[in-house]
Parts: sequence; structure tokens; C-alpha cells
Amino acid sequence: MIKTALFGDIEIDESYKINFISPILGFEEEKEFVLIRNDNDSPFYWLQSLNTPELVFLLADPFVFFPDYKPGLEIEGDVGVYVIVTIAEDFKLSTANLIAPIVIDANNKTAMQVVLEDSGYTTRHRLFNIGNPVVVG
Amino acid sequence: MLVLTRKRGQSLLIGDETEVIILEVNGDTVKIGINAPFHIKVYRMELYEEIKSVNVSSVIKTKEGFEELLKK
Repeated sequence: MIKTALFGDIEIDESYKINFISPILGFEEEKEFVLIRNDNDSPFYWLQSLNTPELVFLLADPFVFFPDYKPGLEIEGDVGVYVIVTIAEDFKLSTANLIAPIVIDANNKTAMQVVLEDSGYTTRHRLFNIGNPVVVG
Repeated sequence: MLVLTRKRGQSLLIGDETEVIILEVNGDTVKIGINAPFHIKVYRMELYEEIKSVNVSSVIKTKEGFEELLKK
């Protein structure tokens, strides 16, 4: 049973716990989290701290929103790549941090925030294409 | 702060394993090479600070207002 500010007390299987071996920058003390899928086929996930009920991030599957995303990581086995979403007041303007994805190894339950130096990505990419204004020439 | 003066091609050793080499000096730009074991993370300071601040501003305070939109 874990306490969360957003979801109340929730029952979590021990096997769902993940351990950050390289921290989420700014949250170096927070090692233990659990990844909760928003619902069955949602591209969104919640990353909830086990020690701090108020600490939760919204993650997204980057390959759903950015099909050309190439984190350039050598990935072996059952490893998932997720990006942290920064919610905007108008949700449609929310952004994803593509330069520093969260990488989770499902086999040994370890995770890290990886910084993709020189990748050309930034910390704020619009999640939704809301269209460009039409220019009439 | 420890301040050292180095010339092009000279290096520093930090701890037992991390070497910082001055590769090139051109006006106010310095090209630096770093040899470090995998567990030593190297970041450009401004990128490190930016990621930290975006992480902090990404903590979810409430799911009101957008929770429904996640289901699409």
C-alpha cells in the first residue's frame, strides 16, 4: 500500500517498484517510484514516488507523439523509453522533454534519466500538433 | 575555488579516474576533452540546470482539467 496525493492510497504489487540508479535531476534523494499506466491502451503513464506522496510526474510514450524520435541509445532487452510531460494551463499546449528521457529496464526494475547531449532535442517539444496559421500569399 | 592555469594539450586529473584535457583554445572558446568512467556523469552546466528546472516544473499538482484528455 502506498500513499499518493493524486490517487489516494493505492495497492501496488512489489514487482512494480522501480529504482532510479541515475536520478531525475533535481530529485536526487528520490530513488523509488512506481510506473502506473493511465489506462490500458493510453500513451500516458504516472511516475509516482513511493516516499513522497506529492511527487508524481506524467510520462508519455514518445514514439506515439513523435514517431521520428531517435534517442540514439543502445537498448537491449525489455527497456522502455518515456518522456516527462510538462502540463500547460491549456493542456493542448503541453510539452515533452525529449532531451532527457526516462529509461526503464523492466527486467531488473532500474531506471535513469538520460541526458542526450548534442541530440538536437530540447526540454520542451509540443505534444500535440495544433496546426500552423495559414499564410495567404 | 581551486584555480589552475593550463596550456593547450595539458590536462588535469580529478579523483583517480577523470581526466580533463585542454584540446584547443580559440579566443573565448575552449575545447575540452574528458576521459571518465561511465558512472561519472558529465553535463553542460546550463543544460543540467535547465533539465532540473523543467523537471521541477513538471511535478503534477492536480489532475483536474486534463485527466479526461489523457484517455484519447
